[in-house]
Amino acid sequence: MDFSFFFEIPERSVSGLLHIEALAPLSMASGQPGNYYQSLRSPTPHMLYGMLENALGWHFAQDVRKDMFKQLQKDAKKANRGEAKSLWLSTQPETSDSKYFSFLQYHLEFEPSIFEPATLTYDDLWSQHLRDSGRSFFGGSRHYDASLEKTINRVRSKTIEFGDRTGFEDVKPEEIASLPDGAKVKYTSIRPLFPQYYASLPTVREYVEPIRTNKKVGDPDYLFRFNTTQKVFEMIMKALENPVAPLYLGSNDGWVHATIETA
Amino acid sequence: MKQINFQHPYPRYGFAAALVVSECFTVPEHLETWEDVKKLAVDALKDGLNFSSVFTKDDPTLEGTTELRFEYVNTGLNPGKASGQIAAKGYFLAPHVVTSDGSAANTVYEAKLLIQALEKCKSEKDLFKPYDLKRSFAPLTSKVNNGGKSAQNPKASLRDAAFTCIATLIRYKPAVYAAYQKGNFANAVVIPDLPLYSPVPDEQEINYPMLDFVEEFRKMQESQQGESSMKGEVVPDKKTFKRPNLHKGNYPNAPTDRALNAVSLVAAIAEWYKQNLAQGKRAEHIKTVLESLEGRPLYIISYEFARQERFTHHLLSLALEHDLPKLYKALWRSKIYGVDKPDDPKRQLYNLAFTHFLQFYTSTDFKNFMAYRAEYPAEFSPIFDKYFMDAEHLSPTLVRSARSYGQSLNQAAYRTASKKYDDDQTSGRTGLSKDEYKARILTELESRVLSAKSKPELLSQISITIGRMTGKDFFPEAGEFMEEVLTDNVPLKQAQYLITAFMRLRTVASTSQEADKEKATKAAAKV
Repeated sequence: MDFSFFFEIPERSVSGLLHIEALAPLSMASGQPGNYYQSLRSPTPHMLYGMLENALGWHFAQDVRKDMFKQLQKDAKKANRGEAKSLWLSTQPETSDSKYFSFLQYHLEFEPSIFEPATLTYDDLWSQHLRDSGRSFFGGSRHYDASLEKTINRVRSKTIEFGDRTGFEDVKPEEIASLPDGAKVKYTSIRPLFPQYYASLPTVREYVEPIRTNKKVGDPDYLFRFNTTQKVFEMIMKALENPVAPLYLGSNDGWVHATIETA
Repeated sequence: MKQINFQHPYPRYGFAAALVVSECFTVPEHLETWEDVKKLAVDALKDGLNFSSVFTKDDPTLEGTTELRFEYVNTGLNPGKASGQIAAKGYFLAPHVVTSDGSAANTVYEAKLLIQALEKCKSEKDLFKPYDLKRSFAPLTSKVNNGGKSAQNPKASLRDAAFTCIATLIRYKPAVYAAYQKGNFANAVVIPDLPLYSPVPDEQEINYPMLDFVEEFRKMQESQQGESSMKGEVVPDKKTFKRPNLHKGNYPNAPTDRALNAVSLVAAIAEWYKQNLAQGKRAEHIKTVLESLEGRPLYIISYEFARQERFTHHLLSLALEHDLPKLYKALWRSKIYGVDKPDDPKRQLYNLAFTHFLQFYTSTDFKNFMAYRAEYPAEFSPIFDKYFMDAEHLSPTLVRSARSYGQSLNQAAYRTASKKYDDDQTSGRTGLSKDEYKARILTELESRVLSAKSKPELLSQISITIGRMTGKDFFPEAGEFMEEVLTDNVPLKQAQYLITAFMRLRTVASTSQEADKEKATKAAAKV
């Protein structure tokens, strides 16, 4: 991974056109999440940055990303003393609603899109993979280690109970099979025997399909003009030709095909 | 100020509604500073609270009370047991507040908190500070877990949260209190996904579609004032507090079965348009609003669910050319074979198939609707004309001849059924009712129609059956249809649908006035 682009002054002199073709229905959340996810009709710049970073393979956890950015900004400041007051070196990066921010945002800028394709919208069901240490994983996942089968049967017949309030005890893994009747055990005791993620309840979510009448395979649905530096341009060109991970916009089942056309 | 806009249609609606409350009907001129936006939000929130609860001073338990007169609670609003503002004492949540009875107190509380938070703002930055969205005022949200340890309330800027709450409270949106499941009722509203700004092609002006919708809806609502919407009936043998008629639909021409969907909304606005035809400019404005809704998602939102609907231009032209509310009322007079009770699931599915058919007018929706064997009221006639001519592009002559053919079949079935019934009466037999005989005859005809393997077979089968049933030769109108059908242009399947659709239409209209008209035209034709 090459972050040397960050140390260059963000002179966005090179223009390009990002072509995006939707390969599946897209669901790009527009805020107000939880009960019903309404979708935007076209992606926001943050979503586009996310897609490009996905192609580049820059998958970092939130805290790692924050630390990396701090370090990059510090080193860039050292290399460019004269530019210390510029946005690129002195401000906190802009984040999306989900607190995501992109390393590319100073060196790559998307022009406001004037074109929104005609879209078909409809509702469908969607679930997430979630992690929880409380009781959600217990009821939310039907997969667990085979050794727990008898224990789960006992829970169903109400001879033992799992919970997370006071009065529930931590039990060592060897002792789980031989619990007395009426035992109260903490969820954390069996957490390692369940998968890391459980599936959430299916939630209604709006999906958007750009209408493709009179279009051939390969014709783009969305076009975004952008300005960037030469280094970043070459970097994303290469990344899109051979992306590290599948590209998606919005929910991660909204796969897209993206290419760049030199303006 | 930067042009205000909202990504999500819900706070966008709240913003448009706030502007209408403040009597501003174009956006940029009145909002120059962030303080203007703040004041707009605070005023709209206060207004929303003043129209969120209804109550009555009448007592249903008294002998003389036949109706309950309702007004809005605008002092001391405090829903809940503690203050006695509960259903048992005649206090009800207004149908346009998108919350549940249990959550109403929270909604009021959160709205008051938002007013306080807004009034505390001292700079533009304060207006954009993150604020927790709670389900009591943002019904589309719930606590979400996005990688955290536990679920958290989603956040939005204070500005967006305020306009979301305004959208929840404002009375200027189509609303109803109806069952979403058997025995469970909730408030449901319609929020259209219209843009705030829309440039007029070839001109320098801008239109404000969302604002226009709220404005016209308010005017339509206000035309209903003084009528029975704020009154509730007291049933003589059950003297309890009941909700006013407002809860059956807070706009004129709302369907009495409490349906809230694209069809009911378009029907109501189209009737409002027709009532205003005398005033040209007003009518034009209403028509623009109606046309702006076409093809756009209409979100039906409630505390319990959210879904979307759309309609096509066919529904628009149907609504403008015919009395759609009357047509929808007639829906309940369709006789579905084998279904007697109104809460039968098959009846609900039939109604759903009907509304889908009207919304989209595609052949799939038509087939889904035809799949339910039923006898249709005469009011449905324009629906089929429009479908066959505008959506399937059949020639008017073919459709007209198919109608005569189908109607003759219906009449033949009626006459045969009447004769059978009369025979039963004279010979003292207990048999079926006239309607039941007719249903059986039509079912037999229909199965012959559908089982025919070619067009000649189709026509001959029907002729033979009718001849056997009525003892007469087939009627003159049949000739034209037979000629049309036997040409290559009409595929067998289409012929079958043409016959079935018109055969199921009752010929005599349900009102005696129309029956007299029919008799008169028949008499005139004979002369």
